[in-house]
Amino acid sequence: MSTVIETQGLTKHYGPIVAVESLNLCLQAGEVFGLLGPNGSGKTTTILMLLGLTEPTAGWARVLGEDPLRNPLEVKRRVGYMPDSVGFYDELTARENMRYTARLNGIPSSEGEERIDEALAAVGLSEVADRPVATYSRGMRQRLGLTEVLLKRPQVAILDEPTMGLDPEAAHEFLAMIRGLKARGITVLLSSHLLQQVQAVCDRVGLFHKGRLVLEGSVDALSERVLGGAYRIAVQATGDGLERLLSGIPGIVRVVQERPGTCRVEAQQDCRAEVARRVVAGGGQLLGLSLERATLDDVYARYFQEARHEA
Amino acid sequence: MKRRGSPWTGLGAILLKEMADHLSSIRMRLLEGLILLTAIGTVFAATQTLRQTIGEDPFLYLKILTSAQDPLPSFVAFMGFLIPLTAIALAFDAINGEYMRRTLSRVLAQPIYRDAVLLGKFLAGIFTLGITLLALWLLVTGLGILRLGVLPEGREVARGLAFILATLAYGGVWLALALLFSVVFRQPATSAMAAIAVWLFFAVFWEILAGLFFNIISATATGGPETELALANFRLFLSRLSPNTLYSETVLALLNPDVRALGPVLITQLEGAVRGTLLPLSQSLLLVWPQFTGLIATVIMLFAGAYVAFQRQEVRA
Amino acid sequence: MPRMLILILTAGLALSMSAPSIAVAAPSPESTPGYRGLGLSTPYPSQTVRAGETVTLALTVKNYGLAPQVVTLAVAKGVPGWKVSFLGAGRTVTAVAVGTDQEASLSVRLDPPSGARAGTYRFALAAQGQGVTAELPLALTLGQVQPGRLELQAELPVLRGPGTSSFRYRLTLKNESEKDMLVSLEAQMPKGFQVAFTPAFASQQVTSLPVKAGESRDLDAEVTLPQDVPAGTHALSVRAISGEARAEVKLTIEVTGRPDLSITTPEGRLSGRAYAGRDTPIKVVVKNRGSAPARGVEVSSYEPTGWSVKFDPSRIEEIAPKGEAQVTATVRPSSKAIAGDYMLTLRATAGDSSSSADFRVTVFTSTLWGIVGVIVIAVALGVVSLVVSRYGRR
Repeated sequence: MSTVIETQGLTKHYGPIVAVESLNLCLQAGEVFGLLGPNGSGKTTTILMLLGLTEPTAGWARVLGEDPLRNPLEVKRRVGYMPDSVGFYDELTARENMRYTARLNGIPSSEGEERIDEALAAVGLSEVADRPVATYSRGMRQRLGLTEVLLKRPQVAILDEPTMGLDPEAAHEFLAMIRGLKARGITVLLSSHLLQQVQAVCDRVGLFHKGRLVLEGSVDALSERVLGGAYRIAVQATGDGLERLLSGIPGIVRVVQERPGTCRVEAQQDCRAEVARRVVAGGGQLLGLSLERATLDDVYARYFQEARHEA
Repeated sequence: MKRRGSPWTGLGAILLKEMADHLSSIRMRLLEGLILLTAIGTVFAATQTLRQTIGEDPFLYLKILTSAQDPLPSFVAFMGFLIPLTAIALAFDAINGEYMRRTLSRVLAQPIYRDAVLLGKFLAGIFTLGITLLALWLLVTGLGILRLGVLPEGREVARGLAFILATLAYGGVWLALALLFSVVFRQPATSAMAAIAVWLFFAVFWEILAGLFFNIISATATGGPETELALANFRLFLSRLSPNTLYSETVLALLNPDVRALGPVLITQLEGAVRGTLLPLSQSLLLVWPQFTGLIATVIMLFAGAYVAFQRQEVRA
Repeated sequence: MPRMLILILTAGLALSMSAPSIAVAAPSPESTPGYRGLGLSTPYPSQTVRAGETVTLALTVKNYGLAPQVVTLAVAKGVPGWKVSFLGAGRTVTAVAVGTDQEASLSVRLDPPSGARAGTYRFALAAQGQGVTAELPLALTLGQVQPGRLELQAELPVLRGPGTSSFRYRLTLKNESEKDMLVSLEAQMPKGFQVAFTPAFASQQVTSLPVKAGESRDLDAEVTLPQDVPAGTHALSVRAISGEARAEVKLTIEVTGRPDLSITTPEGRLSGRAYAGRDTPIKVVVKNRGSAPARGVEVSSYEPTGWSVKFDPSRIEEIAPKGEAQVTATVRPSSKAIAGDYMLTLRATAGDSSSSADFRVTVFTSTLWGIVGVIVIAVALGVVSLVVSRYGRR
């Protein structure tokens, strides 16, 4: 596995405002990396620096071994980028828009047509390719954005907020396409503020907060680190002292009473059998017992909760 | 730190795309229709008078462009009015329009520098103007041949082409200005209004302001004829700060071969001069060269301004 | 003017017509007191005549103080072979009636025989009235006739002038014989010379003219010289010929010669170009088309204010006839001259001969402005390229 994107101490200031602070990032070939964080946390700035569209204040970046600052043309030739809320020339058709991109990339027109057809087919826009983009829905535009990325046959795809503004169904489809990119061997860097939505496709994620990458790793590893346990068990039961009843179970890290009769249990292993036993033994009625995977939202919320506490 | 690769990579693709946009846009269609109508109207009116006097004027085809038939102004006067409008229409939303449509970051993510985007858009505007002007001139000449039955001579063609170049330079000024405003202002409407305001300022108010300013200066100045000459030259200088004046002087000398001087002329300079002689094109060109180069330099400087402003902008809207 | 001339001419004609009538009226017959009788006379009783020529003599018969009577005419002494007849009013007569103190005119005609030899023949004519007789001896000498004599004289035989002018000689042609003559005129001249004869006070050219016996006519000979006649003395002679008679007069023309300058360019094109504020050499040719050398030729010009025109050389010592000299005129239009055409007058002067030519100068303004303009654009482009290198490639 070779390193595709690497940054060291990458920093960007807009006057007194810090957009990105000392970012160290390392992406391996073939992985899907999620750059996660709320709006304004520095994700887009990071992406622009990786593409050479913005100059870092300090630090450096390497994309496919090239310095985006020195050789942005080479970087941009090999990296596909889909900006957030991607826009097209509305009066042109999808195909014409793609042709323009192909020409900007210096792809010969005959090969360009081939690639356009192929890319449009891959995102399912073949039938509407000759309609003006003005008639496209938000989801179709996003898919057209992906078409543009595919058209370049990049080694790396950088997608900025790819699912923003999409309805759940469209978002789901789109995420499936991103998985398709990975299947083609393309390294994907995607940014999103919808943590939960993208966690399914990301091999690794990095959590941004106020310009800093605060957490990095696979979703499981993160939840283990932040939440202390990887297993979350939701317990619905009647009876008193549920919290006290459950906290004695070995392997359980924490029990949170969410509302009367509903508890959330964080545990280091699957201890649903023991929980059921205890509830029943305690004279309660077990109404529901389910194992949940930790979400990034939880991780994020927990992390900043703790950070605030520490402060 | 030097970046690698030509700043003009992809220029051709942008140029072609922008030109295709310009030539097919409804905005340009409207303006072209307007220009076409005025051209046909003025030429028809001009040839109406010239038909009676064919053969009396050695530069018949230049007369078509310059002669006005009440109530219609001359073709040239119309051009002085319509070309700035067209140029502004071509460029007022060049950059901020891309921001508005959120296409700029997508285009810049392609292997090009943004230098090419700006230059491509500027050149596309210039070429579009050039094509429009050339077509217009051919139309006028064709109409002239139909109506007058006389073929234009080589020197008339040469002067006509020089006129097109001068008009292109003048249009270039407004194109570059509109381009600059499209970089500076985020809203296309704002940049359009600003460009039209500047144009109106020079077309209508500059002469008035220059006259007022001149009156204040000349009221305090006393002296002999030398002072008067200096004042006259100063007045001319004020007037020439406007691209409109530069253009009208250029066109005057290019389309009237008997114009031998622009500005005040001393009696002594006219001594021994043979009146009514026609200047060769090279001399007419030399006469308007300062004006012409002034226009071109203005274009380049405005473009440089737009360039600097654009380069310093952040890509993210 | 022509009308005046006609008036004068008609006046002249009237005079000449009235003159004979006066001459006839004037001699009133003089009576010779004391003499009574008949008179027979002729003005020239002894004559020399050409052989074979019929001689007609005027006769006058006068009655001096006698009663009117008829006078019979007869040949008192004849010469064999000769035929003598009296003629009156065109008819042959033998008698004539004469009143007291009156006279009658008639003529006698003497026809010599063919082959009459030279020598003197004597005749005697007789007039027989009533008791009176008059006799008239005649002597005709044959073969020794006086040839007709013409005389031609020039009033001023030597004329002097420039080759361009024409020379007019006043000639007098005199018929010194007793016969009227038709005189033809001719001239011997150097090649290219032309002469025209006109009678004095007339305008018509003639090649011959009649001159009455003993009279003279004035005529003008106008000599026109060819264009390129060299300076110097040219001799010519005019001859008047009438039969055997001829007269000749020698005339001399002294062509003084004079310079005739003209100023032009080698190609003859009187227009050129010049740049404002810059020296432009123009080749100028001063030609002497005259017949005498032009000395001390000054070349000058009249130019617009602020212009300078220098000639090199500005003075030419001498230009031979048919010769030319090259002068370089360095024209520098005013640096403030506006483009277009100007008139420049070039002049060459030598003594009283001068020539000028209008030279049309098309002034081109300096391309300096053009270069400045290019520099301005180059600077502007330089600024752009600086800007590109400073802000470019983002």
